[in-house]
Amino acid sequence: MICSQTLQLLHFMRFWKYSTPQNFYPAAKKIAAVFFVLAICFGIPGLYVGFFVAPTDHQQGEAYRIIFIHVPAAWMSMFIYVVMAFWAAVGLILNTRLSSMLAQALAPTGALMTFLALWTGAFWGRPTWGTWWVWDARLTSELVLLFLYVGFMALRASIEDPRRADKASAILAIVGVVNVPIIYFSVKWWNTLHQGASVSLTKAPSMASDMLLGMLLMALSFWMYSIAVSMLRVRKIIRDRERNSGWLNN
Amino acid sequence: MLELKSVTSTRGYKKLFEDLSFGLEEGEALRVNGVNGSGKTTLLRILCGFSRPDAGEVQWANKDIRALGHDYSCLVNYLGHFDALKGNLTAEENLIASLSVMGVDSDVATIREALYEQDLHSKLSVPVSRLSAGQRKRVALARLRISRERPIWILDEPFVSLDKSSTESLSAALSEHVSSGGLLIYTTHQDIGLAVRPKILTMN
Amino acid sequence: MRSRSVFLAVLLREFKISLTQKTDIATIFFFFLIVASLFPFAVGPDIGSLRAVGPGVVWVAALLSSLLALHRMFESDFIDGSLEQFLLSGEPLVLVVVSKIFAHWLITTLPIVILSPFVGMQFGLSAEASWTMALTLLIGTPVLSLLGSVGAALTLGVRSGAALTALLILPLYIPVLIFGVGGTVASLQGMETIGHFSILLAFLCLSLALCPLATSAAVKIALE
Repeated sequence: MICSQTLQLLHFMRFWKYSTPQNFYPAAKKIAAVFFVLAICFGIPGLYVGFFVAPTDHQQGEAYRIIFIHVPAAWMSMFIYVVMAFWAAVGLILNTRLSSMLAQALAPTGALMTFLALWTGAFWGRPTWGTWWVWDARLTSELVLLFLYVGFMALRASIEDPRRADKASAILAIVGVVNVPIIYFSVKWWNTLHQGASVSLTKAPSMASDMLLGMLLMALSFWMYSIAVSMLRVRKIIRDRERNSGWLNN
Repeated sequence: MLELKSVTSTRGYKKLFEDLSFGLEEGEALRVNGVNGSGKTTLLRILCGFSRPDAGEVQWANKDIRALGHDYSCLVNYLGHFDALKGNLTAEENLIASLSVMGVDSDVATIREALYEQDLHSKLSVPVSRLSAGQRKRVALARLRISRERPIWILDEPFVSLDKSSTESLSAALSEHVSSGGLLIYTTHQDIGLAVRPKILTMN
Repeated sequence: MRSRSVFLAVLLREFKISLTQKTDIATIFFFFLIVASLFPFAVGPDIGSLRAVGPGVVWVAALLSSLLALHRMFESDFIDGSLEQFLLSGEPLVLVVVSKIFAHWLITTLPIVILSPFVGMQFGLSAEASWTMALTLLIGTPVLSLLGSVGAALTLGVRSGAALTALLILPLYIPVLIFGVGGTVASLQGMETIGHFSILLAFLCLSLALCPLATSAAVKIALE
């Protein structure tokens, strides 16, 4: 039954086969505009909640507020990787160009989110724990995720034929997505083994509902932003890759 | 019957050919002409099943070769620009290795005989890296001959590096293959006489 | 049975080729020894501190040696056209790929596994811990070869191949490293190792099931 439903889903996805880069190009601009606006709509209240409304933590002081950037960025970095792998896989299985271009467009944003999560993690750690870096489970997994993104982009960059680059990086992304949970749980196990009972850096102070609201708003804002920026990037990719196709000269 | 249906192929950013169609029956030969870079090698590789065309499909006995998978691949004999020989092994060792991997049944006696046929008597225990280009080509042709049961022969410039007598003997072998019901698709810059008149496809 | 004969044919072919390239293979082996030997110079000759880093050092040295040897898996066959002939074999490419990976592991990594207990003792590990480490390597290094084969196939014919391959697969090596060293350290401390071995075996089963498929797909893409 799962098999037939998956097949039905794949047949539904076939409509992407008829969605060519040429058709998608103008639509992407409109989507980007809408989602930039949405990003601001979620971002401003999110920042407001995070920096003004949520209460000061009695243990960590004001410095903890960076959690409102760190946690949403970390969530997005993992979410984008899965979405990227999904579109890459669709491009590989259905042999469609647009899906692979979407995956190509998502990678730099995902890497940026990962880098942001790592950077803000360091800024959180410094005032709280006295060091710029801790090898805790989440930060270490984020670091490995950064390597996976960089690997994806490096592989793409070193293959000249764009279709071959699409397919090769799709395989890498699929292998990566299967490995991400394995890596995460291995790192978690490794971390608890060596640190024992010490508190994880990314363990947030007990969640007031305001804090949760702030993080959710920021997460939504990052999500909208990611979509918007990926739409603009996919337009650039379409321009690069379809430049000999003729339809661009208008 | 081998059929190409509306096949389009792009290499990098360049479109090589578009909407190409033809059919080849058993006992027919096809010669692909065209300048360098016109897509001949790409076409041959698509016929082998290595490359996937951007549009259209290749059919064998009315079935898509992609669906047939290795049921189709085991019908193909391919000789491209590379001879697939390991330099450190002798001609004999090379053929034993590659034929067994291809799943073609052959014993040492058959292999030796094929190498003798190619005039390589004195070169049997010499590492292939020490053979000339023409000699290496003949080792590859010996492999082709041993697996001649495979009906579809796809040869990319098979006459390169061959001297006059080897060229004649290869032409004879190709003619025999086509006459006995095999299919032949080949490219060449030389004028070769085949017993069966080949169809011509010109790429531009 | 045809599949088994093709599997064996590939294995035999790899052995024959390796016999003519003994020096290359010995180099990888000595690379392992040299890398392991660097650490006493870096850390100091005190056997206590060496014992603390020993399991990690030997595992990382084995891992890097496995990585270094990866280009031998497909590159030569890719360059001389043998790989595309494999595609025309009567059997599925997956079978040829599994056989190649197995041959590669037997030839380049098994000697390292066999030597590892002696290197372990050089780092002050007890005999029991050294043998445990060898066992973790025995189960873990095939996983490394399987994962590495995917990287090797993806970067065929690509410039900066070796460094790129390392970048692609070293992150994937991390779980194997964690549990391989973990098992050794547990044995050193006299604790149970059954958990570590179960997980390593699970990794082996999973990679055996999935990696050859990914690698064959990658080889086909490289040959397009």
